[in-house]
Amino acid sequence: MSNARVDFLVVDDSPQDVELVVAALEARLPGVITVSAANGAEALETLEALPPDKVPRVILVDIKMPKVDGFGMLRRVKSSSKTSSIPVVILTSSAMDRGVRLAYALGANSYVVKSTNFEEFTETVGRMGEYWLNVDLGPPPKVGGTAVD
Amino acid sequence: MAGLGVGVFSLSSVAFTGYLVGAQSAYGWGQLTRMAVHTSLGFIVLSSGILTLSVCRSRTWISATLTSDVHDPVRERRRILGASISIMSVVSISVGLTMIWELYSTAVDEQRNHLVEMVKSRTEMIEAVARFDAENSDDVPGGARAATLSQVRDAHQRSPGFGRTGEFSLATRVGDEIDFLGPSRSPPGTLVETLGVGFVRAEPMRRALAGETGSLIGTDYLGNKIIAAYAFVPSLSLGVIARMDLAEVRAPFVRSALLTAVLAILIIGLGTGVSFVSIGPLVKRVEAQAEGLRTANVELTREAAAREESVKALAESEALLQGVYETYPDLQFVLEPDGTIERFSAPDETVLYVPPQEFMGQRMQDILPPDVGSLWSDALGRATEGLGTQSFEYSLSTTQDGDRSYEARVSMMPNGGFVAVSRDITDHKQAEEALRVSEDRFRIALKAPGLGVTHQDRDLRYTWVHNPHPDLEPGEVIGKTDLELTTEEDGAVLMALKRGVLESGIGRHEEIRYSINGVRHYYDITVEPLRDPAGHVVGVTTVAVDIDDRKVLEELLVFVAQRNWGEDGDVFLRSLASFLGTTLDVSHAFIDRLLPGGTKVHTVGLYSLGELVPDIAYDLEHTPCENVMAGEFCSFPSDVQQRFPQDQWLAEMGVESYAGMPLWDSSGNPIGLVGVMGTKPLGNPELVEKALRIVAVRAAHELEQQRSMEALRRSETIVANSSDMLALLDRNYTYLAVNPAYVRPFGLKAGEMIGNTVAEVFGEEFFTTVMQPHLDRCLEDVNVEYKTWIDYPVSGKSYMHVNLSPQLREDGEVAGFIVNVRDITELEEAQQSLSEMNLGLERLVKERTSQLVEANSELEAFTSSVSHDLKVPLRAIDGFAGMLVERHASALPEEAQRLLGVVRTSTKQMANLIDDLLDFSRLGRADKVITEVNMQELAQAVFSEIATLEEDREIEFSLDKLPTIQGDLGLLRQVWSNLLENALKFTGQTTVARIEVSCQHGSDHWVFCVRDNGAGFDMAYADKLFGVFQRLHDENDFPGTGVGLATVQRIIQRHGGEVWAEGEVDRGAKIFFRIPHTVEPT
Repeated sequence: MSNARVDFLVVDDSPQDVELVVAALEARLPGVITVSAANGAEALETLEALPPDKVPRVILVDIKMPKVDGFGMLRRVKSSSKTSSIPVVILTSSAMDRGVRLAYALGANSYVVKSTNFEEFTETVGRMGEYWLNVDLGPPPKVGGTAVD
Repeated sequence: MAGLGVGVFSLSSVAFTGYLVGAQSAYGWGQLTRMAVHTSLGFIVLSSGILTLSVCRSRTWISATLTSDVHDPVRERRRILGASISIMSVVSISVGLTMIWELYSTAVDEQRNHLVEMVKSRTEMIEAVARFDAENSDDVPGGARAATLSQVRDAHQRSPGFGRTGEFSLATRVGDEIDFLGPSRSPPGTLVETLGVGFVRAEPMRRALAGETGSLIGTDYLGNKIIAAYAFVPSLSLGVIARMDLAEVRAPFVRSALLTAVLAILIIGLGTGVSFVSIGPLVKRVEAQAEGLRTANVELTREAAAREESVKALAESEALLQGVYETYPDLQFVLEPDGTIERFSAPDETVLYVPPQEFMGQRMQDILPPDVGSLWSDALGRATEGLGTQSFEYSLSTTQDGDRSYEARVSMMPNGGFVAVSRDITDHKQAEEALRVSEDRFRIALKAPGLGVTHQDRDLRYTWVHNPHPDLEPGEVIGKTDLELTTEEDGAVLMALKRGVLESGIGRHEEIRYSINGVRHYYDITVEPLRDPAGHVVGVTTVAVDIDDRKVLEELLVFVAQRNWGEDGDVFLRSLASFLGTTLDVSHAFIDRLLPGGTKVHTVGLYSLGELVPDIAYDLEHTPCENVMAGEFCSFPSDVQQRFPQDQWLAEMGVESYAGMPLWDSSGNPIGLVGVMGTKPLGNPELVEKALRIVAVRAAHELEQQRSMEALRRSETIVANSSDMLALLDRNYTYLAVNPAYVRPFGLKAGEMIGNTVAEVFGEEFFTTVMQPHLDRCLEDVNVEYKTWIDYPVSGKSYMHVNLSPQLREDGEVAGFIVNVRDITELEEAQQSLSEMNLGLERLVKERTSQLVEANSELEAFTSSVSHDLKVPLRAIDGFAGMLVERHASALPEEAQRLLGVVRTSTKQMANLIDDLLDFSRLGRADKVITEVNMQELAQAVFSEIATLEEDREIEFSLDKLPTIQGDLGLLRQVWSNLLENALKFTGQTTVARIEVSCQHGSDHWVFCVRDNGAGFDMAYADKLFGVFQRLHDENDFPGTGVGLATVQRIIQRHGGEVWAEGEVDRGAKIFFRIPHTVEPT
């Protein structure tokens, strides 16, 4: 790991999903630095280890994970001053998921549905990453739905 | 005068009050006040005097004017005037003198005070001189005292005194003597140098020398009356006196008193003189006139009395005449010679029929109708001819009283005029006429049938007979007695009756039965004594009336009214038939009861040929009884057989006559008949009809009674055999009646329970705690039902259903209760076990439900989890396959790329499947939100949405009018979406797709139908249509997950409805779903 600031922290217990997400981000934003973690506990350790000015610019996190899940991680990230300003994007399998609503309540900034269709997946994840990397404020883009209602 | 008195009096009173108040407040009760009071009192006395005088005067004046027997009013008046002037003078003078006296007293008092002051100052001066001398006269011989005395004496002798008689007098005491110092104003020669202390006159000096100080009125040493003040100078033993003659003080007052008196007397005298001079003649003149008037008056009175006397005498004689005139009952006229009415009198003016003023001055002949008028003129003419008093009758027609008859008498008077009297004889004439008519009527009455009149002499032999009996000729009767005309027994009774009348002279009236020619009849006889003109009884007259018919009816009435109300109805009806037969003397009498159906009757009393015979039943058809039942009373007095030839019984019994009367119950329905038959024609059909009418009422009542008794017996049987326990209670909860079922559980007989109260039967505690509240409620006219356990002595504990009904009297009051008790122990036990089972079942259902819910939620969690987890590899497969194609396309042969395409297609199918499955599982979890949903709009919107995806197809879509229903908008949208998508999908292979949506309205639900003309399905598999993953078609023909209809079913079921389908292969399908009007939220 170089000294450069990480752009994306991708947290998902499925290595395939991690690879797909990273691929999607890199396809859209060539040269971005991404790190990944297999679960919330690992991701939190990683964040812990980083100095405050080197924390990732955007965190993408799956909900269902062993050890610390997406909600646990969100709670921790948003309650620490070091990480609370990092945009967190929830990765979910379905927009109808009840978990999305809870995630928003816990401070998630947006969510993206992991489509089973490759092209759709690449497009939505890539665009979401690009948006949050470049925009610190303002509403999330209208991709994958804005709110659950 | 009185006015003046009142004025003065008022002024004085006001002045008095004013003085009193003013003076008292300003001076206290001093001299001035006393003066004021005296003055005021004086005026009050004065005014009172005036008032009294004025009252006396006016009274005297009135009496003097009104009474004429005062001898000399002038002198009297003068005396009064003199007296009043004297009183006034005395009062005025007294007041003046009193005033002067008061002023004088005041002056004396003031003078005394003045003298005291003077003495005091003189004394002080002398003392001052003495003090001076005491200091400065040591060398004076005799000492200071002598010096002082010398100075004082010197000064005293030079003192001129004061007033006319006022002077100072000094003296010292030398031993027992008073030594006066020097001369005074006393006349020369009178001065006494010394006086003995015992000298009576020198009172003031003696007091001064005794060391006293004061004043007095007394005498000086010369014997003069004086006022003196005295004081003592101790240092010189010197008495000092200031004195003055009382005469000097008194003089002016005496003068003024004298002056007042003189002036008053002068003024009074003058006034009296003037008044006597001026008033005297005036009074005299008035008196003279009054006297003249009085005399004239007395004469007038005397004259009037005399006139009154003569008028009275005249009036008395007039009144006497008038009395005679008025009390005379007839019309009286006094006529002038030419017949003109001069005066007349009518006892009652109404009999004139003409106003009296029209009578006066008219000629009698002119005011009467011509025929009557001529009668009058004839009579007057005859009277004039000296034929004496003429009398004649005439009649007048009046509007008020009709025709009136009069009898008139006319006499000539000496002056050529007439006196006429006319008497109204109408009543007399009418009485005569009435007598004549009544005699005629009596004659006619005697001709009435059944009425016999006879005369008998004292031996009771008939002397005159009228219609004694239809069977007897008058010739057979005359000269005989009753003993010879009737039986011995009846004759004796009649003779005894008539003999009683002969002896007592008092008439008798009897109903009696006796035989004539062997036939006994009822007679109503009246026997009256016959008297000769002297009043002696010479025989009897008898009026006899045949009352046979009346008697028969009477006997029937008595029978019907008195017989056996309590008796058994059967017995009564039989005896009634028998009595009817014998009384009416007919061969047959019967009472029939109409049998149900109305075509047959049954006798309940049958009298035949003198005896009661057993009852029979017969058909009404073709009998006279049929006629009776059809209408009212029916009678065939003769030849009845010919009228009813088909009636065999009539022929058999040889009946000739018939009469019958139907019987009705109280509601007016026919219930039977009563009738008689005779072997001879009916002698008296009217009597028979009356008799039947009398009997019918009672017979109907008895029949009705019998019928209701039977009904009662029937219901009694029902009650007695009822398995329900029935009892009748009165208001006091006492058993009046019970059925066997009621007493059985108690082991009692009905008789043992009746008369006891509920409390006695069930025990006080059970009664008050359990039964009484219900009974009390029932008392308020409410039906009460309750259930209770009752422990019966014999049958033991049972659960009973009790029904209490109030029994009402006619006035609506609760008279008692009908108690209906039913043993429901078994029912209750069954119900209990049922409810226990139900409870168990409920528990089981609850358990199962919760298990199901648990399983369901587990299943849903599982489904959700599986779906999520399944998606991860799917993404990986598609993702990596996609990357492979994307990144390594150039390295892959075409076949490999195609195969990768297949992989990706399969992946997509699986993803769809999983999504549908997820949606489906979610349906069971999401809450329904029930709102009003317009199905018309919803279906249209969903179709439009879907149809845009199928723009290239030809679709005929028809939508009926759909209702607005209750439901979850989201879920129902899903339903329409799935159903219409299906319809489109399965019509995919038809050239023109036809989709029809319709709705039918049920009583509590709607049935919607989506019909298409697509592939349809085989009804054999209809039940598989709605299962998850159940597909009836080839995936290649109609792609789908097989979840759509399952979802629809699930949604509709969640709305409380159901889904079904009809179809045929290649002929389209109809999917129905029913939704209730009211949807319960979850």
